[in-house]
Amino acid sequence: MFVDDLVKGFYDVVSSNKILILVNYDVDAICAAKIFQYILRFDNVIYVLVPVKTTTELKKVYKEQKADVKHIVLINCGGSLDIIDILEPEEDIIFFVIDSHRPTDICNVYSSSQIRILATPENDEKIPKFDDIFIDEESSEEEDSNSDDLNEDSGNDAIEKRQNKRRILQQNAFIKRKERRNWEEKRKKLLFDYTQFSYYGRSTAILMYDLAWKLHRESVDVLWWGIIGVTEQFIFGKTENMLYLKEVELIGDHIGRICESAVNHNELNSLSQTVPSNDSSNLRIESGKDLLLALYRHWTIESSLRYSMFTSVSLKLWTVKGEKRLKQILAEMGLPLSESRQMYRSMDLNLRKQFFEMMEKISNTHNLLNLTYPSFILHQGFKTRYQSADYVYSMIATLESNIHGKSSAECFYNTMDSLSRSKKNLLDEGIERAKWILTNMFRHIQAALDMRQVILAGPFYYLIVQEGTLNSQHYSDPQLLIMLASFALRAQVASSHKNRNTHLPLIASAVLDSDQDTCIIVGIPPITESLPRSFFGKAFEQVANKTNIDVSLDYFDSSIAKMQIKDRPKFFDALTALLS
Amino acid sequence: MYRNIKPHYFSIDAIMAAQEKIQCSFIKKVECVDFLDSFNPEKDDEESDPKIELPLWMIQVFLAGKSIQFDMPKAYNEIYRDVLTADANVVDLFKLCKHFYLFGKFLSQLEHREAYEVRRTLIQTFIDRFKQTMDWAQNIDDNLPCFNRLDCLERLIFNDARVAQQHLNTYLTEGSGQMEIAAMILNYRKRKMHESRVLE
Amino acid sequence: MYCDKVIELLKELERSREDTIPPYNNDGINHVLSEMKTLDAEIIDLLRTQKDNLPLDAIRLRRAAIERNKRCLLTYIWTRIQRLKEMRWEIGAILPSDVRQNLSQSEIEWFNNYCKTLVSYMKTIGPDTGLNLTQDTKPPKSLYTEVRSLVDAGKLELESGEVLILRKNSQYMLSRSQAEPLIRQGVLEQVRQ
Repeated sequence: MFVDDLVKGFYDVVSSNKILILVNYDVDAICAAKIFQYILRFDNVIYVLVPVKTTTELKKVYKEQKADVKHIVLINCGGSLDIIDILEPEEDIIFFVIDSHRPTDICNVYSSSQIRILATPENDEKIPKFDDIFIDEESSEEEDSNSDDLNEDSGNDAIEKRQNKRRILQQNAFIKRKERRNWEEKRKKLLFDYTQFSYYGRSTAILMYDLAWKLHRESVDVLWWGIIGVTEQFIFGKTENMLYLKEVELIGDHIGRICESAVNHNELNSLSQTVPSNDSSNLRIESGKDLLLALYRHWTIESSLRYSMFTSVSLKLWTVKGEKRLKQILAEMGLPLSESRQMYRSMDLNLRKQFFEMMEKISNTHNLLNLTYPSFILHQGFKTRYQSADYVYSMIATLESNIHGKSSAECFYNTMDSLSRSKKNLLDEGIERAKWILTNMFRHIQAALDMRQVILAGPFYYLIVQEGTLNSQHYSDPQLLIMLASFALRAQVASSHKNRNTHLPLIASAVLDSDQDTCIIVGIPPITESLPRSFFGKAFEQVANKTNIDVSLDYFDSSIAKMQIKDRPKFFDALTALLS
Repeated sequence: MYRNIKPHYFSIDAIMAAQEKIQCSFIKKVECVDFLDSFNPEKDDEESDPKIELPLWMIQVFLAGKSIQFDMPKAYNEIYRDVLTADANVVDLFKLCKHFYLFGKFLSQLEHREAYEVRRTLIQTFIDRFKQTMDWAQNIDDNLPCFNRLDCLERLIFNDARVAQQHLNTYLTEGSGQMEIAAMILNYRKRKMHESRVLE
Repeated sequence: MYCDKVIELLKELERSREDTIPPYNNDGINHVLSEMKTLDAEIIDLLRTQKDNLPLDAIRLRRAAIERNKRCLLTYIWTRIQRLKEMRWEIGAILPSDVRQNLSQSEIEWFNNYCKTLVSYMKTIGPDTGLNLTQDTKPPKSLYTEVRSLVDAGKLELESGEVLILRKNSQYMLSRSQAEPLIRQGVLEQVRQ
């Protein structure tokens, strides 16, 4: 069932007892968990927080921790799974699900009280009606027993009457069975349509922020964490532009409300002129248009232009002509090459101030429309400013730093800590690592396109990251593999001269564990689609059912699958057959 | 933990300082002590008396009976006193005499013609070296080997100052109230890890 | 020379780190005790044999040796006990097994008595049931803290009766008084804000 009132229906219920919180390994979930912890700290609620990556981990943790727990909160995990079926909980345990994965499983939606979903169903979710999916089993049994009773009626009356009755009853039974079959077929079709496409709903972090706001516990930090969740969805293409703009407007209202104390303070100061107008300990968020260049404030302009997905795809910077075009752009902007190779914060002050206008001017030519987008910047006194996308990249990089021998749970906690303001060093380390990852990704794509590794296989493209490729260990993390896949698809479409293959999706695969010879496969929808809906979840499931390949669809995002490397070619063949 | 730099009955440093050896020669004959029999003075000629090195506490006993005379040990004689007055920071006190100050203090309490000079030199040396010790303690985070030249008293002061400075720094950056693992257990774990690594 | 063995004992103690206790050197101590007895016997012997011409220096020397041995032995025991006391305040009433192995029987007895005395003292100060001095060594900032567990530590029973299962790499919100001893033992780690 859906919970409308977050405070009464969720928070008041949950804060009375011990809670078990299960969090998925993605940036949105981590931000949401951080906000939730912040709220819980005010009321001294005892909780246990465990990060989970896959459904098997979810089951394991549930079994270990379920003693004594009555309320379980699932953040970004379990929404699209039938929880009661998988975990088999007792009757009195209540699950609260805040998941941005859609479609929400139909059993979760219509569960009477054990599973409560903390989101209002949106119009475009098209949840099938209750009657279309579940039938009242008792009423049909009653009717059958009625017909039996009628049969047992001590029929010493006219046999004809009985025979007539029997014929009518048989006809009724026949009609009922036909109705039943029709209903079942309709049900199958509805379910198929409903679960065919998997996509993302509203960001969990911003929902948690709403809860904080309703409880009057919001602050600039909490709003910033919510903003990071929303930005993550935008950067990874999980949400449409219109929805993002709507969220930006709402956030703008919140900023106006929370940060207005700073604004008033400034006005008063300008009147009295006793205190300098820039109060250095102020933490405020500014909303405005910003460039779609990754990490440009912490990098050199040239690197940022070259390695950001948007610019490198539009300008085809992996080719030789592209390089020339890059230098041409820098020249047109009036930015000397030496300046553009310096770190942004060491650039000449005038150039830095004019940089934004220069980029906007350039964006009209050179096929660079949509270079700017509405975004948010965090100011803290005179220190470096951070854009919300910077935080997202840093967190993604920290989250998958397990090649240095750290366990994934440690990375999870490092990422969570990097959100606190007292741990800025973690954030900066994450930014450095993100730069390295983006650079590698660009080089990988360049190599892949040169060696034509993005192969057309009928109804889709596919890209395989070979085992042992330089610096490719971090593609075992699904999020990074998805980034690589979308970069590869866009690059492929941009570099293919013919226009016919622009509507195809892409599947990417990388080695997950070289000891066990497993690999992961992700599928992303074609770029020409305006709505980011992927049908690969269903497709993977169907292929797994039809063939007997051991595929585990363990991750909470259904378009990610895991299998043995030797089964991969068979899987691709089956998938090709299914989709053509 | 009972920490006191001043020598007390149970202080290991004071005991070790009293164990330091001094060169001496006997004036009067000492009987019934086995290991000293060969060192008794034969003639009245002082220069040919055999010299022996005895620890301080024994010398204190013999001085009470006025049967011994001793020279100031190497670290406290004329030459080194001049070196210390010239520049005290350069001298490696640990190599020279591990318990320089304590031993010097005990020495200067014995009857000797240079005792007063030794006392003066000790105080002046401590004053001269103190500034450098304080500087090192407050400003160095890593275990640079610069403080190998400190003697044991200065090392105690140095360690205390270092710990205090670290506490201050933690307080200034992170505030108080952060609970931490007990230092003993942390060291215990580090040692165990180191041992297991050595075994491999 | 006299008192060499006892100085070796002390050197052993000096070499060990300040927060460990090396094994109780029973042999060394017995050796020193027998040396002291020998010296004493020699003094008495000298006093008896040479009544008229007492070799004062020799007697004084042996006397000083006995005193020095006594002082060093006492220092040995005293230093070990100081370190034990420190362990009680840092680690708690239960010592790790390899520390226990290094203690002599009387040291273990002393430790138990010390713990008992400490507890009975703590009961008498403060309101109601007494004040736990080993708690809150740093001023607390809040009633509850967030902690992360570093090892699988099994079940933890809270004051409210609920049971938490501590597993590696999970985060918990606990009351400060319950979390503190576990943090000091290194089972949990406090999350910094």
